[in-house]
Amino acid sequence: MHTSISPLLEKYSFPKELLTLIESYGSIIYRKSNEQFFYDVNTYENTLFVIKGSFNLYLQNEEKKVLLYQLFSDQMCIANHVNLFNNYIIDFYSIALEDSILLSVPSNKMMEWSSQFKELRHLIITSHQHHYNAMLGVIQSFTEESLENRLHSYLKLKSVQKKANELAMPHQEIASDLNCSREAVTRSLKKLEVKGYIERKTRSVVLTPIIEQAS
Amino acid sequence: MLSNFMLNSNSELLGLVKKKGIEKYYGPGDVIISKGDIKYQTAFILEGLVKITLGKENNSLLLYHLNAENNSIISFMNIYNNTPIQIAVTTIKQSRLLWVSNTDVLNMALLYPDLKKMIVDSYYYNHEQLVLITKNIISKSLDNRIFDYLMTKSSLYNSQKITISRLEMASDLHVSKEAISRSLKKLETQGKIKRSKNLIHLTQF
Repeated sequence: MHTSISPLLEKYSFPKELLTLIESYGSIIYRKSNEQFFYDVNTYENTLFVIKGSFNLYLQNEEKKVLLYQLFSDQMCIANHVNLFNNYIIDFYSIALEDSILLSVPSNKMMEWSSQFKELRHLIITSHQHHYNAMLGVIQSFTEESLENRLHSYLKLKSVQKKANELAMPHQEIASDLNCSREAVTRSLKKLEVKGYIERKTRSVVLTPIIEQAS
Repeated sequence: MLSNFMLNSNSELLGLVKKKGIEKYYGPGDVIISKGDIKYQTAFILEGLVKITLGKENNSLLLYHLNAENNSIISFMNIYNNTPIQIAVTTIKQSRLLWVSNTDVLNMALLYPDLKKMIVDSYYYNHEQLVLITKNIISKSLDNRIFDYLMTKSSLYNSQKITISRLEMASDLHVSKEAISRSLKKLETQGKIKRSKNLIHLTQF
């Protein structure tokens, strides 16, 4: 049964002609919370847009995956940021943070339509900008911030994503996401506790509510 | 991978773009864009070489290079908004840039598919370079990062011998001068480079 795509795209205010084209050529992909996907050769024939929900984007680094940043649906971000002309493959990896929906459109059609519809051009360029600036942020944090600060930012982000102040996460998972050792995570958590930012319990970490949430 | 955004090689298109733009000359070491600038233009490098860095006072990490021969478009992807630019652009060699307003670039890209392709390619190239440097930072030792850096400089200058100060290397790699000295000594012991004063000779080209 063909799912009607247009109702899912209401919030983006696309012109009717564009919606008709998307209905004809596009398809919907559902991702459940925690579902993972790699970007491989097949991923590049279609451009994927996040239209509902959110994803974590990781860079595959040897055996590990390193957390980069998030993709959200508010700006219909492109999920598989890919060079449509050169097919340069970037070894990314995504995990859905919640039940999410992706719109899949053949990449060549997308390029064609972008000449016709300024809304699509706007979307593509804004998506590029988002990916670029997000990568700059990642580079800055890797080269500047202490592990402690990166860990604190990471915990705050997780807390928002899971909508909870208490996080039960194995130290190894945190270490993998932050590209450091488990021992370093344990040490840094101790430091954050001493500073009063968190409270450590047997199997979890509690973020102490800080007024900075208001910023 | 074929990077094909050389405006220089498409003389008809170059002529059209030149009509809409203004050419400016820069000496080596000129700061073209500082972090925080707002610019509604795109620059095409007609001659020369520039480096893109994080551009912060305490962190000017080298991200990548752009030059007239290969990747010659300096674009900020801010065609639809006016967000401040998050990087700094500095010339390394004497350079000649063609500045065109974003509005004109957008209109021409709609008319000329080759230009559109060049611009989109440049977006991907920029992003790809950021991913590469991120991978380097997370997976390579400082020694290897420095060696990669020297190899990049060597191919940009087309020379096995490079003159570069420890200060500039420390800034580009965002590490201390001492760390640079230690790593260079190590690379020399490994036979990968030979040093004399400020000159570094790459033994494997």
